[in-house]
Amino acid sequence: MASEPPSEPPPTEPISADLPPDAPTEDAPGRLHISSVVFRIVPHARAMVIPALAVLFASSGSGWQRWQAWLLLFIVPSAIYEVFQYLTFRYRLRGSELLVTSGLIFKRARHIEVDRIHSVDLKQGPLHRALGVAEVRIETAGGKEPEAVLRVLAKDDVESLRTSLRRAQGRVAIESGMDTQDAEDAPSEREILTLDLAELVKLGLVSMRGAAVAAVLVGLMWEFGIFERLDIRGRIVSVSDVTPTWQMAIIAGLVIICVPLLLIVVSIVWTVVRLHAFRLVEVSGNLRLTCGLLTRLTATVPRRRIQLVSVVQTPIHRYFDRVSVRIETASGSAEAEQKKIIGQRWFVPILPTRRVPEILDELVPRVRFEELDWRPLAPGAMRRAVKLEIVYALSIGLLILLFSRTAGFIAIPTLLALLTLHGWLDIKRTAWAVFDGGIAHRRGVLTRSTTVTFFDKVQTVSVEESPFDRSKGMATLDVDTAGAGAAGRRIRIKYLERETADRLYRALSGRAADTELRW
Amino acid sequence: MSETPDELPITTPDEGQDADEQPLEIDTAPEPEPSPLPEGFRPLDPRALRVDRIGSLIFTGIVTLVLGVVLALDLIFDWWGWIARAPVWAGVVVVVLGLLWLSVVWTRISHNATTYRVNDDGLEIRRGVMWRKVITVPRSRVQHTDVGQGPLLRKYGLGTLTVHTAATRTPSVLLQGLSYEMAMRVREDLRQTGSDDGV
Repeated sequence: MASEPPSEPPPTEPISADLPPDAPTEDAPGRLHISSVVFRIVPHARAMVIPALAVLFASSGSGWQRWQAWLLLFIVPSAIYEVFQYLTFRYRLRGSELLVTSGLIFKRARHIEVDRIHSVDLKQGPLHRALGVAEVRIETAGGKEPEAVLRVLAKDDVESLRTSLRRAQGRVAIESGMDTQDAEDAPSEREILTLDLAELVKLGLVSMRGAAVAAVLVGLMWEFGIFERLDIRGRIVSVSDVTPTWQMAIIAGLVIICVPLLLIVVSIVWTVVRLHAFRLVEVSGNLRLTCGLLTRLTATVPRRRIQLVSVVQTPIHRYFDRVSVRIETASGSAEAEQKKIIGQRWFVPILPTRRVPEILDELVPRVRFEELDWRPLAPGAMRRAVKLEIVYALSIGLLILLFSRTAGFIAIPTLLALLTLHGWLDIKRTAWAVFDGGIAHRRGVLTRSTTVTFFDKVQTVSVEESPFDRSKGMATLDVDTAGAGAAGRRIRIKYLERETADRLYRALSGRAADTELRW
Repeated sequence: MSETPDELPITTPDEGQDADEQPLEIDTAPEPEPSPLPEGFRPLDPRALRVDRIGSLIFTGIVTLVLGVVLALDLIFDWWGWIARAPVWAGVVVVVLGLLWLSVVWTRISHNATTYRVNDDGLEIRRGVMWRKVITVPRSRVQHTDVGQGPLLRKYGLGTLTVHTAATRTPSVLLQGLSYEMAMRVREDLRQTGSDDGV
């Protein structure tokens, strides 16, 4: 337990650097880097400073009132707390588990089975890099947040932690008779993919990830009265002698052109900054991804932890002849954290279509994508889907008709044509395939996706049957896995023939029961 | 799902086994014969039906009471006048009768439609009358199980079994309406031996 007196000198002692490869060792406990005090206090400080600044700005007219400075004193207790956290924080590898302890009064010990660790992720901001430290997140399956966050470790300690984890994982794997392909010590890197600037610019165009940032930016500019200071309207008037109507028209035109342009630019910049020097390598059987210009992220995912793979192609992707490949792992932080650690959300954010087979072969060697035997849906599926689209078209069209007769008369035929086409294409494109190791599902008209999961990753299987299904002898098959993503990237196959659905259901639940769950 | 009104007329009566599921046309007194259970599937505990009914009847009672108070106030203060009153009363009667039908008849239909089985593969649950669903939780995917019991359930010796998996959309599968002993037995049965549990 971490009951060492806090007076112990802070410099970190190197952990487990000289760990004998096979001894079930008790390593000397590792400690955080001294600078972690700073990194631990920063979030508290931020929580205090932002309200303080807000108050400052709000009262900017009348000046800073003295007493508000006292608010900052609230930091002191949390600072003291964090200093003690730093002083008492220990981590060590003991047998097959990683033991993380902290706390002086309320002691907290967390035992993490090494074999359960799914990934060790690194985060390095500019300040981290200047100090030669990194934030380490240890992820296991499930849970909303990382199993353990080591904030922050010296770079050397990170490496030795990784090495000893890898060794321990190999040891555990041998003990429990699992395959030991990733038990090898020698970390030989093999490059799978890098993305150059041109690709990242395309990705920025594809993802428009910066839209939200741009919105915030515009909001801030508005808030701080930058628009008024720029006095756009005044300038236009001064440049050209035009009537007020024309002034408004020009401003509207500027907005219509500038806002999307701004969004695109911000999106590209954002993508380039986040994914700069994107590099996907294989290190002793694991996939490791590194990216980021300012904040450097490293995510390591063992291949066998991949629960679901999907290849997604939006219309913009198609224009550039690119796709995105996403993988899902069972790490629970999928929702919140992996939006930051892009690694697992967009494992291969952008990829030339011709390289898809090669890269998929690297990610999931057990699927031979070209050889998948795609099967169509039930023969009646097309009629049902088209009928459904007609109902949608008519209900939307009639709703529009209520408001405006002309609009309605234009909308109804247009909608009918478009949605019918959509339904037709949708069914035509939707297909499923079963292969040795799992099941694949292909779907989508505008945004197309192909999703694959594996028998040993299937969690639950269900067949649903609505009254309409029943009358047509059809059913819906739903395959749920850990870390199944948004609607487009899950395996839920509608309009299957009833017998097919039943057969798949039996096969999947049987195979899932037979195969051990291997995270 | 394609539960659009467009397709409603197509629901022609089909294979015999579905015949007793059609009576959502409310009036045809639905006496669902207890159809022979598929091999190994077990029905829910009969006491669960009683609990369901009690619950629904309490709800019906509360709704009736509220509506009754509103109608009584109308009679006293004459809010609407008698012309408007007639349809309102008719509506209230329909609603109350509908709720009564739901709590007396429908509870039985849906109770009988739910069956489960535990075998080597794991737990399999079928439920639903109109919208049917059958789900399997493979034995090796069970993370942990809970058996819960509220005061009403305790009075009737019932328990609710919850099976947790690592799945995303169905992280927990609920099986209500087992006797407490049965819930515990299923739970014991699903408990893992060995360490292939993953997490």
